[in-house]
Amino acid sequence: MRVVFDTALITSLALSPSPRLAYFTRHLMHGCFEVITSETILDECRAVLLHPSVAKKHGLTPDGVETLLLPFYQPLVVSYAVAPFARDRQAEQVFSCALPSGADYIVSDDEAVHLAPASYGVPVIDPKRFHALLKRGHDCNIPLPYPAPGHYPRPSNPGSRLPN
Amino acid sequence: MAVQLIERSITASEARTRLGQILKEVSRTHDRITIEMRGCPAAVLVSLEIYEQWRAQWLRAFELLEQASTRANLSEKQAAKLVNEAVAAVRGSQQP
Repeated sequence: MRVVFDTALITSLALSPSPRLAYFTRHLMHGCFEVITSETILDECRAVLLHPSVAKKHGLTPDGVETLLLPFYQPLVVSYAVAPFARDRQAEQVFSCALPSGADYIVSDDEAVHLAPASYGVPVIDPKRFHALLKRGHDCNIPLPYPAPGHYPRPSNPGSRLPN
Repeated sequence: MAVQLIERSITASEARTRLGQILKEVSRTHDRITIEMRGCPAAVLVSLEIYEQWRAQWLRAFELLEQASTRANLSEKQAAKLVNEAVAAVRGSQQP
């Protein structure tokens, strides 16, 4: 499953040890889903994490912030401008990343992102719903929306020919 | 020490016929070789050293993430409030 997280969600992972956010971090580490980002999103995450009010809380050095952002550097997409609707910067950022990368979901709590037209074809879900989705996948064992790497079901008869 | 990566691509059939040689080459030179199937990149072959480096960085990033969130110790709501204020400040400072 490939998802786009907005700046607020990525940076919150470094600020809150809440069970839900820790669940995302753990599943990301184990490759149960991929977070797709763009230069724009990463630049903003970096700026937010280095902002004095935020840096004071997490206590990381600028080098530490760079290391922390590494898992979000791949896969990185070259985003393109989208939509006249996207006057909101957050919405523009996530959609211009999600659309060219074929993301399965955008995970955001931002109201403007949720107001995006359904015709864009990338469902927008909030972190609560994403958590439920991951949980429903029984820690990646059930395909949602398709199996995570290493979790494809084995064929019942390995010797049989695959259907054309 | 960081190892400089040289990237190149080979076809799946070349990988099949020259696998032993390619493995020796990759472990000696630390080149990164992309294996293509029908013209599309399908897999990447890297030396164990490079893989271990990436894995160590990956694990370190998550270790830092955990340390940072434990140190900050904010609720989700508090974190969202703080982040939204910082996002607004960052965006405000970038306005032309």
